[in-house]
Amino acid sequence: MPWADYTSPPTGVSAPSRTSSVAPAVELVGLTKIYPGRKSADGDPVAAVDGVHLRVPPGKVFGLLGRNGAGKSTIIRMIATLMTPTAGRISVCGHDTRDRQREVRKLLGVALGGERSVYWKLTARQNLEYFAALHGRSRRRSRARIQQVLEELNLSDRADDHVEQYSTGMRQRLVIARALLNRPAVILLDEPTSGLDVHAAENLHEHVRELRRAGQTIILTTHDMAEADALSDRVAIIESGRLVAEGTPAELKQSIGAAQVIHARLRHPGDDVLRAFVAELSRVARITIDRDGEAVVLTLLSQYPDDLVPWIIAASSRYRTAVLRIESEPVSLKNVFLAVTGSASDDDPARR
Amino acid sequence: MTRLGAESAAFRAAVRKEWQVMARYKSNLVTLAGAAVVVPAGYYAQAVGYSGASRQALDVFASRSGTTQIAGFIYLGWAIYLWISQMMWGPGSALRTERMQGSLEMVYLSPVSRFTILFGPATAQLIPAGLLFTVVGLMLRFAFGVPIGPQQLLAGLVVVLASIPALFALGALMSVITLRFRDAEGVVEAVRGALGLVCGVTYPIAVLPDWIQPISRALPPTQILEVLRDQVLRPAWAAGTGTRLVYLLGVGVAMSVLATISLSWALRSAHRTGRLGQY
Repeated sequence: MPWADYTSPPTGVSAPSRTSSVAPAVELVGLTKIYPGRKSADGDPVAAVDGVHLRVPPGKVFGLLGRNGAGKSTIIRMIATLMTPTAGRISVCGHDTRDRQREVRKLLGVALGGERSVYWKLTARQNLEYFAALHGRSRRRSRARIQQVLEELNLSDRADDHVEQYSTGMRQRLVIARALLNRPAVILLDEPTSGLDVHAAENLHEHVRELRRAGQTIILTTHDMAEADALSDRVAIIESGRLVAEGTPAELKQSIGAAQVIHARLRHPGDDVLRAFVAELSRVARITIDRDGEAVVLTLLSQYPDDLVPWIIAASSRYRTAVLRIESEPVSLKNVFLAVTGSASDDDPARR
Repeated sequence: MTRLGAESAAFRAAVRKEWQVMARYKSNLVTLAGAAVVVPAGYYAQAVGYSGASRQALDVFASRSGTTQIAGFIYLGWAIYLWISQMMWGPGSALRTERMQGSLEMVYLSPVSRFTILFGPATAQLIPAGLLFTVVGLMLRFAFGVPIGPQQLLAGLVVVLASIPALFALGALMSVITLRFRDAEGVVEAVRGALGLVCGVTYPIAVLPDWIQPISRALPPTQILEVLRDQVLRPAWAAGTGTRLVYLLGVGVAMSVLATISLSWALRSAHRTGRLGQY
């Protein structure tokens, strides 16, 4: 159980940006969604998304980061016109999603629902022919484009195999290929690497990077901190339906006022000694303490760029406390996430 | 491409997609043909077992059903029942599967009309229906010696065509129920069971209690069954057939309007609740 923590949002966390000289590809203004019938224990309506303001610049990868149930997918579905907002406004390339649904759908390439959202009993080519036809393109007219996206996603060799014979990663790539079919202005990717192994996820990341290099606007939801860090030009952190932080990964890391994170595992020296030891460490870092059997795990967020490990080891010997393990790492989005969203629950993404 | 051209391409693609899946699993088509042949044979054996070759029993059957062709009566009833079941459950089942796997949202995101989403899969069901009626026709003609000539075939085809709007609409309504209530398999089974009971699939509705008979006669499946039997099992165009066909077409149009309105309502509701992507 944490005795001290760094969970309260530091004042440096950047507020959602609302002004920019570049017209946004996607803009959310006061976006709110309350599902009918969903109420709190005291009978008040619960907002799945609560007054979110966001501007997604064109040609960037924008990561929506949040734990399961935070409201990321609800936001994506509202942008995709699959759900109507309870309040607020969404515009895609200047088109309001309420009034110009048809135009908005033509501008979007959507990858939702994961690998099951393609037809497993058809081949990849048949899948793409079907979806191209739903967008009004005959087989003859769509043939070249289908071949192009199959090649872009490295699926052309297996294009005429049934999708049920594909690996999960190949199916996910097919889902993205489908999203690219109509040369969309904005691509929405909802948890694109969910369920993929490391290699397949890295392969998919490379495809997303290629799209970014091609100047594509992408909104990506994920609960994987490393993925958001690696792929996103800007990141918005969503917690309980609210936007709690937004900026570039570097800005967000700076915003929590720490330069390095140190994890130290100690043999428990007794409560009094531990309290005194932590008090000394607190002069240079914010500290979280967790018990792990006979050991204690300290997580230190330090604003000093110097390596504090030797100093901590020296301090521990003064307090006759054995350090079992200690490591230092740069601040990551995971640390930002924990800082702005509070302590983690068992299924918290920050613990993955 | 014009809007109509685009819609037409989408409709063809929806039918082709269903057919591609059907063609992959030919054993399902064989099973359907088998069910059309084997199951009614049991009902036929039952009828013969109860009545024997008694002239009196046949006369009673004829007075209640309008024909002495027991095999023809049962086989046509069963073929229509299978067809109705397919039409009623096929599109709804396809929609349910689409929602379960997450492709429904993707289909819905396309600019294609809801008409195509609703009726494309139903149109594909005409292919197994064609197989079904061919098998039953051959069975009646060659195994039971029912005198089916070109005139009866043509008349039967007219009845089947006239019944398509009503059955498409029934399938569409079931699809809407599937969309609104997540899993409507229980509802569909209940409706299918009720139709089997009250529409005179394997027995004349004259044997039903008096108060049920007017309800049964008003139901489109009963109308389809009666008019098809009249046309195929009787030597001449039966009186009142035209009126019945117009009635069927009228019911089909009315139900199609109802299905389209219901679909709009269900989609609006799904938009608010997010149910389109939930199962």
